[in-house]
Amino acid sequence: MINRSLFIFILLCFIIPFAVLLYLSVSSEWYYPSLADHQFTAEHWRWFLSGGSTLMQSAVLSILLSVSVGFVSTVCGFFVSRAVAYQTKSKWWLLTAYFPYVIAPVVFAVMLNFYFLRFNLTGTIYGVIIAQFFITFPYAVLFFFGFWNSKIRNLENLVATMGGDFKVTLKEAILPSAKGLLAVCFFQTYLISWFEYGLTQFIGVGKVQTLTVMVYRYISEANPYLAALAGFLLVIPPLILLISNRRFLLHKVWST
Amino acid sequence: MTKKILISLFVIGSVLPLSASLTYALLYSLGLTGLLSDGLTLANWIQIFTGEFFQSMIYSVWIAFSSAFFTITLAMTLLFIARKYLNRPNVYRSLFLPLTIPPIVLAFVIFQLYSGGGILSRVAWHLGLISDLNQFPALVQDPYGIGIILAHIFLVFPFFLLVLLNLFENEKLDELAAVASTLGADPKDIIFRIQVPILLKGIFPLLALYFIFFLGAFEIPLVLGQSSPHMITVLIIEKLQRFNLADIPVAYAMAVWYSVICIATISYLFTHFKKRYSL
Repeated sequence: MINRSLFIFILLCFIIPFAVLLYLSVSSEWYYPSLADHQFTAEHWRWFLSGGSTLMQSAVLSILLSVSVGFVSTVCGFFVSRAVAYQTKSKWWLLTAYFPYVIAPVVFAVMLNFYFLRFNLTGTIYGVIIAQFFITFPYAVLFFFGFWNSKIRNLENLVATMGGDFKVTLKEAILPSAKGLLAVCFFQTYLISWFEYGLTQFIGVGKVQTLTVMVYRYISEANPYLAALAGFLLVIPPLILLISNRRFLLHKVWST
Repeated sequence: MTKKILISLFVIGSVLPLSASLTYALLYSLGLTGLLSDGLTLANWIQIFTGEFFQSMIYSVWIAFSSAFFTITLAMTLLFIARKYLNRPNVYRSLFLPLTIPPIVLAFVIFQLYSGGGILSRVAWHLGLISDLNQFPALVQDPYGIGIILAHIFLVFPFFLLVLLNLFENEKLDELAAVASTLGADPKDIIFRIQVPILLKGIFPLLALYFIFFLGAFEIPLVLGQSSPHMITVLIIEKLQRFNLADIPVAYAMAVWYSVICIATISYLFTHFKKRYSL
């Protein structure tokens, strides 16, 4: 009984943020001390769904940016981790991949910004993609590092012994074994990029308006209704991933 | 040849950006480059251990420590109260829910819940507990960082609980408890002298990492923090974006100081815990 009540309490705590976002996104003129006797409206959602809204543009930009970062990081991380695993003996190589991921992205962005200014990347979408890549790429290398174990190496050798070149090895041996991991890594790097605010704001200087940037913009403008709407849009993809496969959400690199 | 290119890509994508940016920030903080550079000086470094910067450091350490402490305490308490219940598929699955909320969104929600004009304050008004929003206790943008700590706990404790549940199984703590009980240990001893120390030892690397993450938190303190002192990251950004050029080298010194702490911590964890806990 106590356990059940406890669970219901915890579940309520977990659901409240989603409920608050949805509630505020359909509210308007929510003045103190009103709780529920204010005006409800679908106007914000209608505005968002009308193709040309800035929020719709931000949502599309966020999706494209995160998909690009996730895809490039996963592909590069996959092949580079193979080279690192097979070619390097010192564990310090691997250790260096942890650093960019552990340091707060916004501090990393602060220190990187000089070079981004030099190469005219500040305030551009490419600049933000590259900056996010510097965090997600080491993460992907760490993610795949454990994959290149003796079993995979033996499999590669077996295909090579039978006359297969690297393309065949990749197609027939490596990719079938790595299919699941590639999907998990893609979605995790996608989420790192999707959740990112500090680095995006600093390198993008407010010009690259992803959904997280818009949430803060609306908070600053004291517009809780649109902030809630943008926030709700931000939690949709992770929720879909949670429903489809919870492995997509867990950061395996740090789990014990 | 291809392998050399791939290793080079690793260096370019992983090692080079951080080392180049750290070098620039260090040179800037030492007065060797930048707009106001006039030769080697340690003045900027001395400044981070005085006044506003030092207060910010202490405040950040307080927030990080409290967040880590309350997170592990809550997770550990729930583990011992309801472990078997938490292992049920639906309950276990629900623990993943907070992982779907970005920090900036959570900060917004916490603000809407706990601020003077927030939902809790309105409920208190309707219940007749307060008659004005100023009577509601400051739970966000407060001097103790209660809102920030609450947000950190909400965001991380389910993840810690998931890890602890797995650790409990992997370390076979039920079997250990049975053995200890056979040898005459009472339930309190079993929990506090056997199970908790083993769990704490197992989760230590993760706890240390999250201490570092909390120390460098940005979005949540930006929304829920007070105007002074700031958390380290917020202060660094503020100093870099304001018009006082003299603050920039100090902000860089602080960024280097924070980065070195991160690098030292992860290096320690990597060398000491890598094999045992597959960090």
